[in-house]
Amino acid sequence: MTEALAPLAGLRAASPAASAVRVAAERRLKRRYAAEQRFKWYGRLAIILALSFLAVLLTRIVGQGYTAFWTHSVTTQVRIDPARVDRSYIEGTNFDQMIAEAVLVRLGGRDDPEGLASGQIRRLLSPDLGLNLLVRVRENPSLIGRTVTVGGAVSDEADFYFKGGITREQPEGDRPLSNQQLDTLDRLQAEGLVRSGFNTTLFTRTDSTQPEIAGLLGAVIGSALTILVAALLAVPVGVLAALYLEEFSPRNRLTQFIEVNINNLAAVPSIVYGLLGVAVILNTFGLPRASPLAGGMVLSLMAMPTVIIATRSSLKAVPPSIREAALGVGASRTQMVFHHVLPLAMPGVMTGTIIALAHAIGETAPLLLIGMVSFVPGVPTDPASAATVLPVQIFIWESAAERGFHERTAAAIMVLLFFMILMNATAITDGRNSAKASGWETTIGTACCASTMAAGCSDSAGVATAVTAMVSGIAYASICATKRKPPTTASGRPAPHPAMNTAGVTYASAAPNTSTPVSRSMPRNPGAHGTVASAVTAATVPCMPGMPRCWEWLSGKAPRAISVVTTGMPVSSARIRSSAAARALSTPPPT
Amino acid sequence: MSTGLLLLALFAFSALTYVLARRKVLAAAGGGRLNSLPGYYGSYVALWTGVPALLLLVVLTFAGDQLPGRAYLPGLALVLAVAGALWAYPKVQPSFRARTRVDGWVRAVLMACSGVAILTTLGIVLSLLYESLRFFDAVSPLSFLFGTHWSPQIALRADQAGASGAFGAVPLFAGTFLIMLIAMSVAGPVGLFSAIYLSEYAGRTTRAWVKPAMEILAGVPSVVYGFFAALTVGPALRGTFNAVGAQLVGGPLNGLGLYLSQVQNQMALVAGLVMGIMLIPFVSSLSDDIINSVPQSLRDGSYAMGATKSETVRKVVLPAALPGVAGAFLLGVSAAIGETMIVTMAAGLQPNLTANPLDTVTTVTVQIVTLLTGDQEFDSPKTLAAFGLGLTLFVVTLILNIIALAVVQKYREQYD
Repeated sequence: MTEALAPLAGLRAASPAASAVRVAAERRLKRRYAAEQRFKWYGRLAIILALSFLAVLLTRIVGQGYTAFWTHSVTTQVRIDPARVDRSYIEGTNFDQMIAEAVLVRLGGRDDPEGLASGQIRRLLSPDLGLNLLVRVRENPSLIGRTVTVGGAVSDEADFYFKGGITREQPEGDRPLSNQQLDTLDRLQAEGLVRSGFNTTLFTRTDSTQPEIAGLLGAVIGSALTILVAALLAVPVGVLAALYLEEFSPRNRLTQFIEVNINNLAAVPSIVYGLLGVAVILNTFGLPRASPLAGGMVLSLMAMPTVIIATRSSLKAVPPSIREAALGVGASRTQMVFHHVLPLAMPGVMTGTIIALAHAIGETAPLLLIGMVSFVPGVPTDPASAATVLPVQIFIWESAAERGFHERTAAAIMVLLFFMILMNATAITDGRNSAKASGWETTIGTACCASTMAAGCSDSAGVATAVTAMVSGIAYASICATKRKPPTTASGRPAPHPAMNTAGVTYASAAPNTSTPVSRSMPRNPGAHGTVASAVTAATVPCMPGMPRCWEWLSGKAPRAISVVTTGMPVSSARIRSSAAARALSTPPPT
Repeated sequence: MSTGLLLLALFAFSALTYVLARRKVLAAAGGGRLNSLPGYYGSYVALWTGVPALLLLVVLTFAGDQLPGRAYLPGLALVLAVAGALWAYPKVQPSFRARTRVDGWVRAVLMACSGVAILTTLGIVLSLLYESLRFFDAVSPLSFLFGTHWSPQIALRADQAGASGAFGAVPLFAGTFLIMLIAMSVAGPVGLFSAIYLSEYAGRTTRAWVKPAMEILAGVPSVVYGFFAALTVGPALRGTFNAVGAQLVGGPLNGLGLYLSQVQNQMALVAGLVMGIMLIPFVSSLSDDIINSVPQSLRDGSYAMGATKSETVRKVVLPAALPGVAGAFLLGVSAAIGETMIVTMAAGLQPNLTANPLDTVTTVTVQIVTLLTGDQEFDSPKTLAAFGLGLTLFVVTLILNIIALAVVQKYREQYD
């Protein structure tokens, strides 16, 4: 491609043949530059395409779901006709009809003998109104014969009309509401009987077959319990397994087999874990179907490889000098790991763990198989009771026929994404600010939650406490993470890690009361902590699809920095693009 | 006695032995030298007290129903705890190497934790194999792998003798392959080109904003993509095709027009397209890493020869990175094959042996979900067929992963 370029300079002489060559060469060069521009645009187009997919996805969901956050309710006065209530069998009363007739009378209409007019109105009101009235009358039979005020949601179609989803322009046969019903709704609104407001039902009630009274409370609590079980199982086991593989294990065939195993486990399709759950957890262990306990166990098996891989990479990032120093002052290997290496690696561990759990929160397929797809009308009270989780609730609502469920599905997705974003933000701020303490606060929050559960959350109050504990733990951790600046010393350099300053611990072979305490303070690379944490963040964020960068651990070594100095620039300004390179640079030379 | 109460008693007893052992060794030392910190002596005895009994309780909880004499097991646990305490307590002397022993215990616990990974794999393989073997008792593996008729519902009827014909999984494999192909033809080019742009062209700031934004695509749960496919992409594509079809009807392409005006929401294209969107960050972030690890000297050499940036990328960087990029694609393929929610929500249930992306197809994962959700007894061939499919899925993705990881690893060794 370059043969035409070399003689260019010598072709100043304006011989016709030479200028022809020159023209050809210039044309060729132009073509090459055009190709260069085209190629650049392919890349730009690919990125624009990917980002516009994301934008369309998010705007569609918000566009479909935002209407679900407000809803319309109706309030009316009803005289409970004693003639129509059997005091010995109050449940047999048709309160819905009674309310519909009251509304009809309020609007100045008269019911026809077939009850068609009131029947039309009945379809505009949620069955919830009648149910409310029934509960009130059953508790207080003296209401019979008196006039009471009842309020409740309008039916899903009526709500849809008020929100503009159904218009009069549509032909009458194509819409679920007749002209007469639309007139009624308009009159109701004109009379001030209908009010719109925030849809609290969505957050305070559980699943229902009627979209207007269906809520997410059961699913949110189910998700919280499931993730709690998953975290309690996956995090300790995962972190300890990573500690063994990284700090203790001899390099032999067995440990290599374990490593290959873990990497492959991270890439096993999630539905296979569901099959494992059905065969082993449900059928062999006999745990209750559709319970958060079984679901959490399945999710913990899925999350464990990611936790192990994230922990190992942040353990790798701890400078070896820390280990040597700890061993040098007489710590045993276990003491070295638990007193020095693990505390330093903790932000990375926390980051990886939260990301793995955030991914597990959105997991659906394995939970379908263990039966969480069944209709659960109540709030799960303990980890062994039947429950559903947010993503499965989305799946159930998506396949429902009623149109009102469509906007609620999108709203449920927004709630799910909110929780995931919250967790990811916690993970990232946690890692960036190297706030080990905030990591511990999350742990403490989770531990509080665990203890509440251990105390036996046999009622919904217990569950509510547990959920509040977890949410406040996470929220507190994120607040701390955003507030806290990395501590600096007088010279403006980042202060040593708090674990470094805890003096006064003596190691073995010293008398308990007489010897001079060996200080645990030791010099460390300033700023390494932050770099390490962000490198770990960078390394673990792409793990989100559940398929982390396995080969690094398969080959038993992290990729080393490559050719950062080949450009001749100082290292600091050379291209340090890969997180692996950043990690390698953050490791100080042995002292 | 309930297990919870037993646990509590065990814990209290261990704590007691901890305190006793610590006191004993401090008294015995009398201000002299100890081999280890006093807490280690306490821990040593407490571990011997608590752990064996705890293990027994775990066995009791999970497999208690099968063991003979399970009524005595809680008592046995307490006896074990006392025996452990009696065995360990006399050893507590100032010269006793308690720290070494406790470290040994800790190591054992860590080792057991990393064994869980093996147990999980073993559990997956054994449970899939066991249930699949029961399935293959009823249906021959050959007719499962090569049969072209999939209709598991028929085999439920007791009078159905030739059930084997109803479990031919080829249409499922074909459907899975078709959707995977569509997904990769979206994710592959888009992912690769964005990776090239991000690693070779983009500035620091662009990279810092675009990369995380693209990774959001990977963080979105697949059930959300399923919702998007079923309620947005499906109707939109159907509307487009139907409109195009309506234009063509009556013209020279009447047949095509008639076909296009009848396509359904559940066509393979919808699921494939949306799955492709989901896999973009997968391919791009893996390829980005691979491209970044191509030595800079190769690029510098190419620039020195007068090559432009795109020529360098096409003729030097990509060939050097090709094995790694191929590995990334293979990992993407294995993720596409195993993806469940998008296809469950956006692809059909109708087994269909076709290569037409506008037709409705079904996939292995959709069938697993369909067979295992809802009410059915566990032993029917219909339910067991899900495990046969699961085993196939597991083996295929495992092979793909192993090849991908091996390819990538080999490539890494070349440049490291």
